[in-house]
Amino acid sequence: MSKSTFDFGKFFLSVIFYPAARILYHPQVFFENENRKKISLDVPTILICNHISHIDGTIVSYVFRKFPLRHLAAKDRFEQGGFIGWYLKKSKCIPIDRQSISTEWVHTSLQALTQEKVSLAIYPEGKHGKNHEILPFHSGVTMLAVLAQVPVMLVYNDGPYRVGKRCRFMISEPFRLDPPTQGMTAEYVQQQTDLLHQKMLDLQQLFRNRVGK
Amino acid sequence: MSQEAIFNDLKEVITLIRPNIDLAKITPESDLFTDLGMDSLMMMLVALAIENKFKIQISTGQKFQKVSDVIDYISKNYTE
Repeated sequence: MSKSTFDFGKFFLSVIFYPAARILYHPQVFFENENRKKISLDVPTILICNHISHIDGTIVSYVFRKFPLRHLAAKDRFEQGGFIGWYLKKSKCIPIDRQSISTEWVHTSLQALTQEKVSLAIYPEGKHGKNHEILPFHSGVTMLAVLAQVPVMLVYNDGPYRVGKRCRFMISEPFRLDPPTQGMTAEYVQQQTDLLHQKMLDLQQLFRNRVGK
Repeated sequence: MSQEAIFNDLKEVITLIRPNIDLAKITPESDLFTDLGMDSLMMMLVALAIENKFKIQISTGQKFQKVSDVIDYISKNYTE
């Protein structure tokens, strides 16, 4: 008799967190391309999300619930223990070790994208921005996008979360980074990271112009 | 592989990531951060390049301070 393993992460998401996200925050999605009516992830994609709260992962998972998706999170959050640490592990989040130069998260992420064919959500600010500020991006997202050669998609979360108030997202069209012409130098990676950050700021501005604050 | 050969390959990796670095500054005793001006981004790129070049994996929690630390690590983990 085969032994099946119970997917706690999936269970909590579908039975508890998704209904809660729907009832409490009822996420609303807008698109950079006004002609787009629904989310499409045809190929494994890196979703670049701004970070406003510790529940971002759950809400983003709900928004993209029809697609296989994993999240990257700081390893120190996993080690916090308690429910958050347990949940991050069970929901197959990929831990990023920010204290050393361990490349394990890069290899795990590449495997997820290229072999498991799942999309990844990453929060390159590394910490919560306040008052709609989008903090500078860490460069891991650029390294991942270049190594995996997958498209990226910006996911702007207008925040903050308020019970009873719809949380609103604007999603960009997928695009690819310009490949490096002289190898993956530190300068190239920083330039592309700054470009992604600027594009997120532009998406935020587009949201404000079109949808309002 | 000799430590000298490893050092030469490592210098090549560093100059690929930072093409404008002064080669004379790269010695086994150089501090990666204070002497060579490396930061976490550059060190991550170095780690990835080392893994690719020497076919080893940088273990979780690994930290390097000097060039000689990297040479020693590669020397211990590299198999021809």
